[in-house]
Amino acid sequence: MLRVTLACAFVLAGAAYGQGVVTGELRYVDREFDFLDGFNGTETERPVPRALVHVLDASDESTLASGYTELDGGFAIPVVGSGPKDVLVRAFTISAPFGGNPVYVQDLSLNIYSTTSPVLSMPSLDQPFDAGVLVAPKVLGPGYQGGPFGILDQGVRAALYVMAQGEPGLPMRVDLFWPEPGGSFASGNAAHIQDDDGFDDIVVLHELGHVMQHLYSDSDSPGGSHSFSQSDQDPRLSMGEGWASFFAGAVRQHFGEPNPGFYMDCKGNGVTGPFSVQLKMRFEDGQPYANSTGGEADEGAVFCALWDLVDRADTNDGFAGDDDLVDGSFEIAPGLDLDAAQWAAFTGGEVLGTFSLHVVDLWDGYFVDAGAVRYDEMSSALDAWKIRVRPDGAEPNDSTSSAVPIALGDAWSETRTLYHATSGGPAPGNGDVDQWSFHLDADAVFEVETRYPGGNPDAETYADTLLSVFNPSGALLATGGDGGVGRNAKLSDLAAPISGTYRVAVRAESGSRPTGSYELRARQTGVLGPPQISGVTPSSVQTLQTTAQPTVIVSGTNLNGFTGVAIGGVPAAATLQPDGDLAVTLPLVDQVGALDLSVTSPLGTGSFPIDVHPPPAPLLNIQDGLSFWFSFTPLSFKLAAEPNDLAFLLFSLSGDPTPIPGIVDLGIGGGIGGIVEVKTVPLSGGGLHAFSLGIGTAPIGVDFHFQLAVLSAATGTLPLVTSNVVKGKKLN
Amino acid sequence: MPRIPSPRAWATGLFVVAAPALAVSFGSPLRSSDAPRASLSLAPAGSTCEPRAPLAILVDPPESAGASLELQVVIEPEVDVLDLGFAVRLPNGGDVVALSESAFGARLKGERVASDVRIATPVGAGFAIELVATARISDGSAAGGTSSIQTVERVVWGEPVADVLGRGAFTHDARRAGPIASRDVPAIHRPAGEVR
Repeated sequence: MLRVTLACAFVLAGAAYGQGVVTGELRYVDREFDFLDGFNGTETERPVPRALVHVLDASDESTLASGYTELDGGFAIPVVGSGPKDVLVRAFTISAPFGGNPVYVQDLSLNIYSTTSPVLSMPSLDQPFDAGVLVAPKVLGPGYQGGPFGILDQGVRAALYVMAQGEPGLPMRVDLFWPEPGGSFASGNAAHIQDDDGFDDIVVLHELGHVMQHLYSDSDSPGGSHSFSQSDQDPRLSMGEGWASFFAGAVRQHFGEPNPGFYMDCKGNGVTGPFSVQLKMRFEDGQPYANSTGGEADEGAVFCALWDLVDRADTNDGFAGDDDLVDGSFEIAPGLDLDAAQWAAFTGGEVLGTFSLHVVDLWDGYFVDAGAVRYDEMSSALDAWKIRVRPDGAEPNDSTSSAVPIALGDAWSETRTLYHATSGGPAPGNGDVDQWSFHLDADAVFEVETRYPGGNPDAETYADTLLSVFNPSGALLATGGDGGVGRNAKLSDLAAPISGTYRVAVRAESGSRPTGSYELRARQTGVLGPPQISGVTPSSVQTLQTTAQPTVIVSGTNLNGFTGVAIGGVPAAATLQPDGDLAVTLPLVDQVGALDLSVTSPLGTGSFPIDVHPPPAPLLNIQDGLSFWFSFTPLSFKLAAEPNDLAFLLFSLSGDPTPIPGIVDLGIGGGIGGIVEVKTVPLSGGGLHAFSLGIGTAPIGVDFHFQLAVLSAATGTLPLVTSNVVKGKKLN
Repeated sequence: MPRIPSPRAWATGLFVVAAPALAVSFGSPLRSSDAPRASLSLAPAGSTCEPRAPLAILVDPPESAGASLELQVVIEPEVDVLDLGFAVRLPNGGDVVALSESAFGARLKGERVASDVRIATPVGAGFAIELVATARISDGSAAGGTSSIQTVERVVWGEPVADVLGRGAFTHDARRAGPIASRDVPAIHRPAGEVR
């Protein structure tokens, strides 16, 4: 209707000024998609809005006149002259200016795209002429296809959307580049669209979302590879990427697209049907990643939550009504519709002023810059995506006097939040301090720690907690932000000097993650005293391995103050683990059977039996299994068999076997002439022997082969029993 | 099998066989028609920011590529997958000489799999390989209860010839200093009054 009206206007104008007018309609071939099927096989023609159109003299392609299409793709371009003329109508992927600046779609060589009519014969230049319908076809590349005018359509829609929120126009030109071989991305005022994203409207709008962040707001995203179902991202990335995907849905909703609320990236090679989908996620319910989406550090949670703040009960998303309380039936910020409120927050001082922008900053912006007043409904929408911008049920517990008592034990608390209102109302907010208290008797050993909600290994919160423990007099006993899983804090092996009420304060450790969610527990782990060992894992170990000696884990209480560890009286190296256990490296113990593993501290010694046994067959260890040797380091040999066996250490340059029936069946030598005996070793009562051998004069780069042949002390008969073969090479 | 772990490979735990002279690990030998040529340098990785499917492709490509190259590709599903597949595409030509594994069945989140790839590279100023991981996942919103996901990792050596689409055109525009350079495609035209 608009086109017809304009055409009539120019007809009248042409009559008055001797001008003609060329009218017509510009469309592009689009590939339709939907959430279930991806590209569904339907190709439609859509109008190209606000595109530059030239009328050319067909004889030399000089320009006779130019103008822009309207939103419905119609154009009416006045031309000057008289008499018949053959003309071309050429449309470009250049938009009309929006506040002075247009949108361009180009290839990487900075060529605009255009589409041109066949030669059209105008009966007379001073008469109206209907050029008909021009349809920009699909553009086919090797293995992909796209629609440059469709990409322009998305650019125009993005510009019109931000102008509908009150922006006067684009502050600078927006460039869209296609086909980009390296992947879709945005940089400054440019969006690069990957070759196979040429019909992925949502990907184009996502990248335009990044451009709009740059032009009107802010992003502190560090970039990098990212995906849905990741709930422990950098929260700055989650905000940047989540908002860009949200923007695509908001624009599509603004223009009345059916089912506008989802992200989708499809294969661009022309395939159709569900298998055409590479990645998709629905904003309304998070499918198919709903179960693994949540928190401030999850781009999916960000766009789902923001979507709930702009979608309405009448949004055509395939769901009856709305799944959240913000349904468009009331203003969340007086005088602003849902999109305008979001935009006011997104472009306001709260967002622009932060150095580490995350979704909670945008939340605060709703109240600081958009004047939001519907805290309950809005926080409920965010809470559904585990973005918890509300005080927890134990508040107020910010001060020493308001510390909330908790029970000591293994159970974790319910999920708590670190959101604390900083004004008279419930929002905006910032970091909180939660104070908890518990009773301990003197000499109790205890620990406190935090974890992610539900112990989720993927966090589902951006919280980074810091713990501070105070004794009954209020003096700081310990503080720290590390030791727990991920960013969680754990303070272990704390000793209670006196009986009384102890207090733990939980706050954010990082200013860039000021809020978030956590769970807490405090438990007594022992009583001050000598080490007490409750278990050793594994409980049975072999005297020797082909690689480095094994580690056994010693569990118990009061192990943290250890000063020495021994097995069978042989000192052993040990390190304290974060969970209070000791990791003990088995020494060369020249005994077998049940031995004492003892841990000593200034308060005494605790012990526990451990079974040490010989290997089931003779075993040779050289350099703990390292097969590259150096002349400046003597080779370390360790031999193990049954106690009191007699071992022959053999050497050869050949790795071929040497069978000597009834005597020995060796894996090295390639014949008896290729074998050299290095050493005869009577093994000890523990079946072990160790020595070093310099190899400074041995040849370089030659494979050495070693093996043991062992005479059993128990039988004293042939054949000899052989060990594993060790192969190595001297590098210098 | 000689394998040369690069410093970056050590850091990531991935081992990549880089040098053609050492490419003797698996697959059939290169065709005798593959002429030796100067090696091509690895192009800088793209700065893509669009979300990828939750299938991470981990690869440490060699810094240069000659007539052949070998890669070990590790795929890590970031969600539970019902089946997992891997393929290699060569948009600029060349041949996949060997691909050790292409189907991995059901895998749990975080359960890495690996495939060794040997490629005879095309002749030219540059080429790309596309590593394609595909999987089906459980999806309560989809007909049949499953949907597909796919991640494509493109690695480029040298400078492949850019795609040129459409016909070059120059159009003078009084509002601009110079002509508009465009890649032009003929419009589908329906004359006035013609019903589609």
